[in-house]
Amino acid sequence: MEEMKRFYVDRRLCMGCKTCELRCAVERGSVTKNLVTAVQEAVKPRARVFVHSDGEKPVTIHCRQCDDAPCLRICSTGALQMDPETGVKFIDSEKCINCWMCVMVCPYGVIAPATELHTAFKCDRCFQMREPYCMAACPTGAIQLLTAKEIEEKLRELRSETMNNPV
Amino acid sequence: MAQIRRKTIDPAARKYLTFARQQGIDLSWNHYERMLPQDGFGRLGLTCSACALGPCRLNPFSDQEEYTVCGLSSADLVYHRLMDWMEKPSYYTENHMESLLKAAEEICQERRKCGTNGMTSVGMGVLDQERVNICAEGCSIEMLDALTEYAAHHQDIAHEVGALGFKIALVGEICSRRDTVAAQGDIEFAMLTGLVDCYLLDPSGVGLGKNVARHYHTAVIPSCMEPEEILRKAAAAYAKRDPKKIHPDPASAIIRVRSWEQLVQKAQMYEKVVLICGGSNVKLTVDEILKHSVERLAEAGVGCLVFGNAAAALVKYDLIGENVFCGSGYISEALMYLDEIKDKVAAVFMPEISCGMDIARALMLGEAGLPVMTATELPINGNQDLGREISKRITCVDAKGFADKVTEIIGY
Repeated sequence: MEEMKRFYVDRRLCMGCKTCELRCAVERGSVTKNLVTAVQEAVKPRARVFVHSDGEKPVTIHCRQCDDAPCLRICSTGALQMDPETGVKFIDSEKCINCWMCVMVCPYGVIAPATELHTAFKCDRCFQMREPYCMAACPTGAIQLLTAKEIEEKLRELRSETMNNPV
Repeated sequence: MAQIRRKTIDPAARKYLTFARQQGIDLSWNHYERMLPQDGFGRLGLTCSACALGPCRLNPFSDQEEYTVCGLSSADLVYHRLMDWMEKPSYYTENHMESLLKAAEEICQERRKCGTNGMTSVGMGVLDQERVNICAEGCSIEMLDALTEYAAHHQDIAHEVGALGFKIALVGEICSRRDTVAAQGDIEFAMLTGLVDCYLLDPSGVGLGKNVARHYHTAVIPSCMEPEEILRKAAAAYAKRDPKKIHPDPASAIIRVRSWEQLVQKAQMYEKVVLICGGSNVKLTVDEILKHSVERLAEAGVGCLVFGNAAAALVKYDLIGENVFCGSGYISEALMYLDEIKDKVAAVFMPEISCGMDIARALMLGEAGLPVMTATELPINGNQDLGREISKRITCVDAKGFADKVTEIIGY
């Protein structure tokens, strides 16, 4: 298995514009894959990424792809699966029986009970695409996909910036 | 994700795009591609920054976001955006469509009767190395008439800086019997000649030429200034011309433009005619739909009556001539001749709508029962009801949609 990459959101760059949400909903949630026509679809397309604000700074929240994923452990039908190559956890909606156990155990609240689609709904990091749509859509480059090592490097950068410019 | 697309089919573009790159000058295409993706909320018409409680935006995929902080719905936002574009004040209304049509009608009324009485000739690519060149974009015809009149009597202002006089021309449009500044490409290319001394904009300040003007001596001036002040600033800029930056555009053309009465007579000679107008829009491959549609229509013997920026664009491809006629007025004047031409008009093509004025004209022509089509995505889809109402009057289609419509018109 290649080294796991996770979303890293640089909060210094996130503007809270929700472009990632729109793009995700259109590309991964809609039938037509087109913004203009997606808003007219009978079933409202859902996004798998959420822009959240703590009142000061916005941040996007995706599935964290936990190593010891509670959703994966609790799923009794095998709907929640792990891609052996990338380690990404994804939902096989055919097998989902809408028990919402995964929804309950997710510590981040990023698995949604999509009743209209009869399945649980979560981010799969667009692991079958060249790059995640939210990341491609982010106008400031706040959403990044990094390995743990690269995240450490980012944090080092952040610490040194904070030390030089204390809040 | 990188955007791979053809910027324009303009034959002069390659030369100018290369030149701009060598000079380190960013053109509108560069700005557009660098900022992609454009704001999705804005594309749907769902943003508002009308007050300090915002900026607000409504998520079209969320049931939680029905109203802005101050209670505006998605229909209100779409309506406000279009009214802003048409430079009309938006107010509380229960019937958005009715209010939009009223505003559009007012605009069309204001802008009528600016063409010629008969046939006349308009110069294209008229920048004159020996004169102070003033290029106007989006300015009212009355204002330009006043400025031209004033300049005619105050040539001495130009003489003071060693110029032979003033040359005042429009950017693009051939709608008002006036000369236009470029026979090749658009205003940005004209600016790259280094001969534009003054770029005159309407007070909103919208104009692509600003991208290039900042790299040259060109004075960018709002048209609300007094004529004398405009002429003096233009003359002062002329004195600062950098000879090393001057690359005259060799292309020029003379085009014959007709009055609406003459166009109506022409229309009577055809079984079907198509009205065509609109500016250029960098979001599309510039001129592509326009050129290909007109070529096919003209070849099939369909009469093409072209106006404004579309006419200026078609000159580049030598398409004004047999079956393609250039009008000197605005396309909205068609409303005054509706009884005579309505059964002849197979479609109104406005492929590259780029401003509120175009939308106003499209709305009124659509309201009058003419089938109006554009390839520009309008910010109307944020509200389904209003979007549907507008779509009854203006059909937004892609390039293929245009090709299909052309095929339908020519009958095969």
